[in-house]
Amino acid sequence: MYCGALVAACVMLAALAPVHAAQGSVLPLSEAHISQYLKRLSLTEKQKPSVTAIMRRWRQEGEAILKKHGITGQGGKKPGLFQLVGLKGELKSVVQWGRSEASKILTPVQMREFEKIYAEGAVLIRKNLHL
Amino acid sequence: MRRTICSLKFCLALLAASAVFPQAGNAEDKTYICSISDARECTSEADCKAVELEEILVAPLIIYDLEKKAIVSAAMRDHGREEKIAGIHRTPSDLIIYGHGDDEVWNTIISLKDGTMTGNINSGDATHILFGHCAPNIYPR
Repeated sequence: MYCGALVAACVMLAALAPVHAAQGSVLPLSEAHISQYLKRLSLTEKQKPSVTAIMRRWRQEGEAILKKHGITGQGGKKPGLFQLVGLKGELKSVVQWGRSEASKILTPVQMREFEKIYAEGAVLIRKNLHL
Repeated sequence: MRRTICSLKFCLALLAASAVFPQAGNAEDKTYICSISDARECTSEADCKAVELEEILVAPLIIYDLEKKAIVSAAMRDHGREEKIAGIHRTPSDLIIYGHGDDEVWNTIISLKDGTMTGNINSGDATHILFGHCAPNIYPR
């Protein structure tokens, strides 16, 4: 049972790895990721451009903040012990903006899935930062 | 096997940090292990509020290695993240340790009498205050 879960996790990570490597970012917001998220949200044709724009802006602003703090997630280098404290505050305002915009576009059911995607993304970011 | 030994070491260190020591430290101690129990976030816009350590991405267990002039995270999930110590100041009752990164400055005061610690991380927009308890690290890294 335990081994099965472990194998499944390894297969899942192996599947995700090329996407991260190709993108070279700690943020799971490559075009491939965004495309997966759009499918999961079951968006209408009208909703798609707005949600795509939110996720692309998250990526753009998030990467700018990470770059400013010298965090690339490459080379296996761990960030400093207190390096992420300030970073977290800066990312928070970008995240809040995205959530607020999404809540204006998505239905409550879609919004629940959006939060689920966000929570999974946060776990992936921690992993990419070697935490 | 190595991972199990490491985990055991962390658990023992955590127990050491949590235990009540007759004397929390003295001038000869070279490393301290601190268990962070509480954190607050303060900004100029609002009152200070309690925050989870996970939220601010600070490890709940930190080793202060005075000999190597480094502090390092030592929690099970978050270990091996370091900051360099820029300075150490000892008084008869306290140990004051400070340093900085590219975008933040931090300091810690450890009571040599009872091991209580307070720390501060100032990142410009906000300051985060950490509270915890330290003990001499009897399992040096």
